[in-house]
Amino acid sequence: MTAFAEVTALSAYVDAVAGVRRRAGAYTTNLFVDPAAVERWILGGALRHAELEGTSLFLRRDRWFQHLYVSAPDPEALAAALARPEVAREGLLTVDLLGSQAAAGQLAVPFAANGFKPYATLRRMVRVAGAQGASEEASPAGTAAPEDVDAILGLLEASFDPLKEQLPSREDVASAVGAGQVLVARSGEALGGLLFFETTGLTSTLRYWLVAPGHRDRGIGAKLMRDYYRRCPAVKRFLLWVIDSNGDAITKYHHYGYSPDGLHDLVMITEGNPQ
Amino acid sequence: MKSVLEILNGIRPEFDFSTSQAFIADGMLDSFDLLTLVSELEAEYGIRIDGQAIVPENFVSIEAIEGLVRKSVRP
Ligand SMILES: CC(C)(COP(=O)(O)OP(=O)(O)OC[C@H]1O[C@@H](n2cnc3c(N)ncnc32)[C@H](O)[C@@H]1OP(=O)(O)O)[C@@H](O)C(=O)NCCC(=O)NCCS
Repeated sequence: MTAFAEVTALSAYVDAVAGVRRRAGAYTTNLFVDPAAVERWILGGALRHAELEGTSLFLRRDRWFQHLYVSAPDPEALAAALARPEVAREGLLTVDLLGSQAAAGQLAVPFAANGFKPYATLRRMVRVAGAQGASEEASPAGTAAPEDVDAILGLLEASFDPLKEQLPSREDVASAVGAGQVLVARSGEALGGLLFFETTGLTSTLRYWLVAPGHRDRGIGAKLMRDYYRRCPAVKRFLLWVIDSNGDAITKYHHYGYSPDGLHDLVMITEGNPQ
Repeated sequence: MKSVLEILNGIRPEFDFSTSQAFIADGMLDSFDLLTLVSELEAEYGIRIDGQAIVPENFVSIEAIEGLVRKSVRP
C-alpha cells in the first residue's frame, strides 16, 4: 500500500499547496512549477500526492525515477515527512532545490538527513537583449517538423542525464515542435543539432542546446543560436540553466552575452544506483 | 519610501512595468522574482505578506501589487 494517490485535477494540487501555506511558520518549498506543466503531468497520470506530517509531497513519474516536490510548513515537518517509510518505499527520487547558493544549502538540510545525496548543481544564466552576442543574420537552421520528434528525444536522451537536466517527455517535445520552439540543424538525413526554447512574453528560456557528437566545434551551435535570437526579436530577457561543471558550454554562453544571476539548483537524489 | 514601480524597476530593470497589466503572462516576473519582490515589499513598507497571498493573480499589475500591500498586515 502506498500513501501516494494520483492527482486528477489542477484544483486538488492548488488546494494542497495553499492548505500547507495557511498553516506555515517557515514555509519550505521547492515548488516553482508552471501550472501549465502541472496540468500536463496530471493529464498524463504522472503526478501523485500524499500529505504526511502536515507536509504536501508530490511525486512526478519520469522514465525510471520520480521527481519529488514538497510544500512544508517548516523544515522540521519536512524532515519528519521525508523520514516516513512511505517515502523510502518509492525508489529512486530526485529533488531540485532552488535559490541562492546559501538558501539551496539550507533547504538541503532535511533532505541530507534523510538519505538524499548531492548529485549536481546548476546555475542560472541571463542575457539581456542588446547585450553583446550572436549577430542576428539569417541562417540555415530551421524549425523541427512533427516527424523529428523521436530523433529529437533520442538525441536529448543520448546526451543528457535526465536526473540532472529535467528532460522533456515525448508529449512535451511534440508540443514544443508544434509551437515552433525547437530549431534543428540537419546533417544529411540525420539531426546534427537542436535548440529547444520556451518563450513567455518578453522572457525566453533556452531549455537545451545540443550538437551531435562528431559535429561539434564547426559552427552548427552558432547557427542555431543566431537563428534563436533572430526568432525572438521581442524578447528582452533570455534565461537558461547549465550544469556547473559544463565549463565548455558556460564559456560559450558567456561568449553570447549570458552571465550568472546568482540562482542555483542543487539536485539531490536518494541513495542507490542512478540507473 | 520607494514606489512599487521603483521596486519593480530595481528587480527587473530591463522591463517597462508601466506599460503592462499582465506581468506574469508577459514574461516580466517569474516565481523567483515573486519571492524577491515579496521580501522587498515587506522590508520597504514594514508589512508581512501572508504566504497564501503569494499567488500570481496578486502580482499581475502595479494596481494588483498595491492592493496586496494595502491588505497586508504590519507585524
Ligand atoms: C554547446 C554546443 C551546443 C555548442 O555547439 P558547437 O557546434 O560545438 O559550437 P560552435 O562551434 O558553433 O561554437 C559556438 C560559439 O562559441 C564560440 N566558441 C567556441 N569555443 C570558444 C571558446 N573557447 N571561448 C569562447 N568562445 C568560443 C564559437 O566561436 C561560436 O561563436 P560565434 O557564433 O561567434 O562563431 C555543443 O558543444 C554541445 O552539444 N555540447 C554538449 C551539450 C551541451 O553541453 N549543451 C549545453 C548545455 S544545455
